[in-house]
Amino acid sequence: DKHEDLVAIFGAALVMILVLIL
Amino acid sequence: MNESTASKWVKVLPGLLFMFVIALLAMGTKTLGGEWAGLEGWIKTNSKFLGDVLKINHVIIVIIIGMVIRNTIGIPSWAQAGVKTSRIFIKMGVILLGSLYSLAELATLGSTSILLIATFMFSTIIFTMWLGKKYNMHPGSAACLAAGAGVCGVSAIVAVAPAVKARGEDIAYSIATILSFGIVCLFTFPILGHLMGLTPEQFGMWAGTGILNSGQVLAAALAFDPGTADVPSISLKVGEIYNLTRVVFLPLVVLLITILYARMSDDKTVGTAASAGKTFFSKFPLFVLGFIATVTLTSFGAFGSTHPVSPDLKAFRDIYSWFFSIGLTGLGLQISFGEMRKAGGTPLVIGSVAGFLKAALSLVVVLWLF
Repeated sequence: DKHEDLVAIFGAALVMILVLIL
Repeated sequence: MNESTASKWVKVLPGLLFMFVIALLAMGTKTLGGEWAGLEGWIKTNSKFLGDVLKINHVIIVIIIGMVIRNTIGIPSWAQAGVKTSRIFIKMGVILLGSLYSLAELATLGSTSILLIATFMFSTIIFTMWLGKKYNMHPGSAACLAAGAGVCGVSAIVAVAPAVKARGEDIAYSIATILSFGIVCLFTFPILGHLMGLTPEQFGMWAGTGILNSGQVLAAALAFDPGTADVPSISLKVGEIYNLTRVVFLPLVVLLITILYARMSDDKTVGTAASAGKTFFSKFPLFVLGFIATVTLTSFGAFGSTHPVSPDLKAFRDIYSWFFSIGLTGLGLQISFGEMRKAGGTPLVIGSVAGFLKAALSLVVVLWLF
């Protein structure tokens, strides 16, 4: 579960960064 | 990135596209800048009963499409790896959902939810374990069932199973019972909520307390009030805080059940302080920290103004609604009637009694207090 959570956190952070720069 | 990781992600793509296409069919293209309103729009214009009375929206549609595919032709083999990413989408959606709250709101909602959830959770667990002992259930089986009925369905059962030395069949029975009960709740809660005229806040509290499975709470809250980027779903906003409260309680519950199991089965090798501490930290849900980080960043204005809502925050709302639709498509695709038929006998009766009592009593408390 920890790996899944880390991927989710990383994915959500990536989405936020993309929204902020685009 | 090494080759095996890269090939793992390539394997995931077809199934991901499969879930996206189902979500697109249900939601249409309006949030993507198009004009098509999807199956949801078609149902609203063609069936007053389904659209206005049962208030069927894209959330229920993706789950039903998923269930139909799973139980007729099955998940195509090329899509199986991708369908397993559905939980990641739900977790990413929850982290982005954090952009709806301020720290003050989180504190207010969180304090009520901790009180309600703790009361219902611990009383359900103790009641289920007691009922299991009364009807001579295997202690490991009763412990799995109590975890499922008390906390958040499947993940709780899986977390508790090794601590109480549950047998494979105990786990399968408990999961089948909890999922069967949860599917009934998922479809009946939103309809009952509308019939009883619950406010979105009341519905969020009721679904968050009374439904046994996190994915199903999310689905029921969105089915009751899907919300839009301009007016986010209140039932989701409230219900998800209750959901996260339960998930955060999971390590404590594993601890409590292990101790109850040790007393019930006279097993001296479980429930020791060392194993309890290890269990506690290994079960803490990390993604909740991501949610809290988003709430904090939003409160400090990292994503722009919250009143009026900045374009970035609106974009987050559109994105999480897609993530939830894709994740819930996966939830539907993982509902197998064959698996559910494994539920039966004493566990099904005890699980249903505990689940029904929890649903009914939490409704009474929500109506009485709020």
